[in-house]
Amino acid sequence: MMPPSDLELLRRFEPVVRYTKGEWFYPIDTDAYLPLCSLWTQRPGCPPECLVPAGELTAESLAELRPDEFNAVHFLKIQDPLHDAQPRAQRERRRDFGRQVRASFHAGRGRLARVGFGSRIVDAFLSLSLLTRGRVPGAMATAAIDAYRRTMADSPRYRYHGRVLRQEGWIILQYWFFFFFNDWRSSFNGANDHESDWEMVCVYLADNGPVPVEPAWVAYASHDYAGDDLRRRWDDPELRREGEHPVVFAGAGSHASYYTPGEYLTQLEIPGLKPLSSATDRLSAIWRRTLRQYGGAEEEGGGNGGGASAQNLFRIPFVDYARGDGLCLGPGQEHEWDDPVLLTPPPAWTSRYRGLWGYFANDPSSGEDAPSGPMYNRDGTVRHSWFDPVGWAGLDKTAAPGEEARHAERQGRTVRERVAEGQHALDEKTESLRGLEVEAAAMRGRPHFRRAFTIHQKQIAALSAEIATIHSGLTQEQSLLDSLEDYAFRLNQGERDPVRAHIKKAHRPSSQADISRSRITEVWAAVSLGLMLLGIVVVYFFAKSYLIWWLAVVLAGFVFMEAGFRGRLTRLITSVTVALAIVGTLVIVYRFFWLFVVLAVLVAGVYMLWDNLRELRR
Amino acid sequence: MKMVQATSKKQHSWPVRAVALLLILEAAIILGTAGWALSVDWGQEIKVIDVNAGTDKPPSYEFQAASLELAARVGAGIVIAISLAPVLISAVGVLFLLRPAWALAMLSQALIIVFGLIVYVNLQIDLLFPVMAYAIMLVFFLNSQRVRLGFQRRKQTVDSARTAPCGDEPA
Repeated sequence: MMPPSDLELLRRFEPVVRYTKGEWFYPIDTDAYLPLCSLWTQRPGCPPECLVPAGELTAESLAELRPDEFNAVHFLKIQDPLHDAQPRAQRERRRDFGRQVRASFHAGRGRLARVGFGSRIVDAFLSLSLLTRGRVPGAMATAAIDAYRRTMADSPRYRYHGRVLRQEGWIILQYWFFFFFNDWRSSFNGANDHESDWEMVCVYLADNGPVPVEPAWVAYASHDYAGDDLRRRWDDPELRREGEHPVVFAGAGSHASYYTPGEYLTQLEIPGLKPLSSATDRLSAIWRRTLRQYGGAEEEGGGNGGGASAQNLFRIPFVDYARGDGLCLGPGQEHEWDDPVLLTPPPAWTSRYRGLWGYFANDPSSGEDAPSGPMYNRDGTVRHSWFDPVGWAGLDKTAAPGEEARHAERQGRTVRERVAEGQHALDEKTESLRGLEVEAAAMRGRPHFRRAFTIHQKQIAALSAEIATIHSGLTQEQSLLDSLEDYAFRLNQGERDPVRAHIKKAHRPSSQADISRSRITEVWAAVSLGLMLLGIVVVYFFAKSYLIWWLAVVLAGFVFMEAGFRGRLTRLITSVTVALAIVGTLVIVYRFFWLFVVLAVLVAGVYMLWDNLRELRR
Repeated sequence: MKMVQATSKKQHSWPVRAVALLLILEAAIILGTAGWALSVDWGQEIKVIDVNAGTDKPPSYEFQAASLELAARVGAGIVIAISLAPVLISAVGVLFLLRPAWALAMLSQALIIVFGLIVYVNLQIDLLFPVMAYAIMLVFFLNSQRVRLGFQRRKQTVDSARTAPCGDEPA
């Protein structure tokens, strides 16, 4: 029997992708995109220069090597047919786009109502920073929608790019989805917009020889996450399947992939605030683990999860809507996949063009810059998911199905060898120790050996300690060996590891309680920050003499109302009281510092007395 | 299985009882402190005087103490006595396992610490530091995982008992 071809494998396990109602862009092949684009270069300190005008760009011409200076960025740009049109026509088109967005998508209770005051302040600063840092102009989303619609009207198709590779006992099927545009920010209040978007889903098959292949794991790319939390085992109940086709729920606009339909609160790390967010995470861990203090919803198993820790003041929350209530693509769905574009072997446009696949916004945080192709990162280095898809999903630690028992047995043999080596070393060292002891005994009573005897004593002590360490290690190795033998036996009996043992923080959609906040909470979340700033201005002009007190009153009032609207009065009471307790502690320590020092010495003295006297009584 | 349930129920109820006990103890300490602070000879050492006496203005009364220290002591005593009521109410609430008792207990600690800080900053006396230190200790105990989860589970038990259909025995 012939082994299945790459194309057959890709088609057999191709995913079903469910989009959110209101989505504008669906996966398409790059051949439809390139003719609409021009190729540009941006050299430092120079205006962008067009290298290939729109209409002349093909996959072949894109693959041509174009030497350039260091720090030059090559990028594509969708030609806007209305670029030279009257501003009025452009405004009218943007208005039309806004109307269509509102008509097709309802955000429900937005992200602002789901997070706290502090996060909203940081978010406001991020929005303001869009005015100064590079961003994708608003007209680009409408231009991309026009271009995509025209392309689909001429020849409608839904296509993915498929890649098959074999690595470390796995056959990996990579499904690369290319989109004209990522309109997460402009259409769905998300973090960013950028021209072009690449998303990926991986299916891992156990390479059991010629036939049959067996699906074992899947991994869905989601923003920039990587590692164990991305992948699910084929028999994981969270992984929905239609026959042999895994079901993917794609985020609206962002196109990030999820296993479960829902609304995901994604926290965006701001490069400049990373030290602060890490410090907050560390403090929070000390608060909960070392001081055993209460840490909120996480303690009750209600944490948001999602790659990052629960809500952090210095990370900006965004909602990724992966409702799955829109168009559905895939086998047996309302639209089936067209023949895929094979990336095995990698075509020249994949491997030789390292530039961006869309507009270069020159955004320092890169969020608004277009991504590179499937093979490269924005900086031109090769993507982890491309050169090592097994390690990218943390699967390099895991044996393929059917191989686990063999691996456990092999590891058992390795440990057994280590035990034998350790035992051998132990015997040798014990022999040496006895020799040293005999020599030391022979030296006793002979004054001229005084110096040598002292050295011997030290050697004996050191060797004894070494032997004790080896003994302890051997005992541990022996326990490990027993466990490995038991584990191999259980695996041979057909038992498997728990299906979600590898997952540390799974990305979970927001709970219904989080989503179903009242309209008034939503309005409050939208207006509170602005109102507070206005309040501060009013206080400045009308209550200058008691400025600090009035500012405190305004701030306290807003914080209290915020807590009330979000049903977090208890949390507010806790935070305020704990803060007061910390201040109180500092005041007491400051006031009675020397008394504390004296007390500490006294306690240490009493403890030593008690301990020594107790020893005497034994 | 039943035994496991019984053990876990016991584990969850002891922190709640401990909180009640500590609150009662705190009320006793406050009572003692306030009692001592206010145990002055009100007739001799504290006088009520009319500052407008001898003038045509309407009478305006003020307290006048024999010394500044005494005035500070009495002031601190009055301030701390105010926090006695919420501490006692929260202690009773915890004893009867009322839902808002935890929040009230936390609030009363905040009140004591604020009073302690105000007295320290304005009156410069150390009278309230023992009560304040006790309140700080109680804050961290109230916010510890054991106590919080103990109350959380109690709340869940009460909620499930309330929503249980008629005739159902709550677990």
